[in-house]
Amino acid sequence: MAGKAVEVKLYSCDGEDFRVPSTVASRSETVKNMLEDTGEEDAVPLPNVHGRTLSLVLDFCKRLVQYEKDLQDITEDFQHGQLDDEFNAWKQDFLDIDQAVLYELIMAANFLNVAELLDLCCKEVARLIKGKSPEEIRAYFHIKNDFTPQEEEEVRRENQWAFE
Amino acid sequence: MSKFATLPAGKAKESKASESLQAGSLIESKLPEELLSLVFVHLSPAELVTGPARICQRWQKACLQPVVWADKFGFDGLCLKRQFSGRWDLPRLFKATQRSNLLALPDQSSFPRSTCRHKRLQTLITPGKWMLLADHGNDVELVPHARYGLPPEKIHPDLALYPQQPTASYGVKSAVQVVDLRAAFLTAGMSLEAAEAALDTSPSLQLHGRIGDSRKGYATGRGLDGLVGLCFGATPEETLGQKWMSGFRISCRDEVVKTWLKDAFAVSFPWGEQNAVATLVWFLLIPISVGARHAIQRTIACLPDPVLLGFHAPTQSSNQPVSQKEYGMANEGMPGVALIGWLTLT
Repeated sequence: MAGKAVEVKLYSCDGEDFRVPSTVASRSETVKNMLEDTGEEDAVPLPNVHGRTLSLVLDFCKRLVQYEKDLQDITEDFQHGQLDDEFNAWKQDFLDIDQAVLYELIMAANFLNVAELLDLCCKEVARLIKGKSPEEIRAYFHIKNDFTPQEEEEVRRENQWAFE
Repeated sequence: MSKFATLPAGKAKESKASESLQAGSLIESKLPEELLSLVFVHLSPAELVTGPARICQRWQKACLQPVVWADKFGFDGLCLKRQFSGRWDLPRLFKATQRSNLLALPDQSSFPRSTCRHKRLQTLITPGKWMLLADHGNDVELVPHARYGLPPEKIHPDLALYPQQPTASYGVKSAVQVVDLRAAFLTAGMSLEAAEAALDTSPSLQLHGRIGDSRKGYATGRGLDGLVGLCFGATPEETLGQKWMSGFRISCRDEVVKTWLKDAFAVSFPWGEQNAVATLVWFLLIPISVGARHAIQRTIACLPDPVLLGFHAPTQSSNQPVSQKEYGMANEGMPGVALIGWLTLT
């Protein structure tokens, strides 16, 4: 019987601590490197990540590890699709967060170097952008238009082909 | 809560309502540009130029990052170096592309070959990204599949060479996708006029002018573009219209690239090589033919000689003995005649 997975301790910047299996924590390249440097016994401080965001990141990593483990276990092709569907549905639910959290998640995924999570979050932001007019995007993201009228006209004219 | 949410994760969602920060403004103002670019990677060229490129200067700048466009070109900047240096203001995009070392060549092993040495055009069809057309030994052109909207596996080499029944099914898709390059130009800060000029003045058009004319008469001088149009199932009208083709005018004439192509694909340029061989033969033929002509004259002069008739019956005109020297010269000329005959036959 396999021994119990080694747990590592992570500290967020607001003092929350998380105990997670090293396999989960190692999904973060940053944490993985730190664990390799300091050993798995020492707690890993993550000064750039809030506890609430770290919990989400670890949630994602845990689900990802589970998904990959399930993939290894399947024997039939149709199970593969089923697992994918389940994971996609889970991701959809996972991303049911407000934009502030999404922003923090992107930053955390970038800092912790969790490529899958970063990609997922970027896709989500892209999805939010798609199908919106520039005005709608500005309103949605509270962006101030810093183009001069001349520049705006020029940009509009240059991109006219895209609307034809 | 899912079985995976064993960590104190709920707090984040609970904080939705209490979050006082303006999330949008966070994404706008604090998300680093490299992360913005990573977001834009997931947008199509048309979405980029109709959306983020028009939002604000910061977003527009993020749109220009090479990472946004790298996989949209398919050929990773391979062709950009030569074509756009010195002829126009190098667009910022391409400068950035070069800086970011996107000129790295792809894995050669991923390029299965489908060469047709006996035909004018060679095609190298790749299952991944590229279709390579090599023509006449003068030029090669790398065509990213994705630009034309046709799944690579649906392109058969023979179809690409000799499309018998063009179908229009991919034409519209192509029209949408082929604007990538134009989008890149415009997003890179090129003016519309400059972009149009860049797209319309490619020398490759001239070099490829013969292709298509002798086939179905569709291409009518637009050369490879017409051929590509046919290859990808455009109707003759669409091909002639050229509008949807106008996004692609990049070719490789860079010697380094050509050398690499030769090494990588064992691409031979049959027409180029044949031209070289023909030239060599002609140069060889000149002295040979001069010698041969001389020899033939000598031989004709000796025609009455019984040697040619097979016996030694003296004739009126053969009273003049043929010297050994003249016989020698005539004999020297014979290999030249034989060579000419052989060359003619071959």
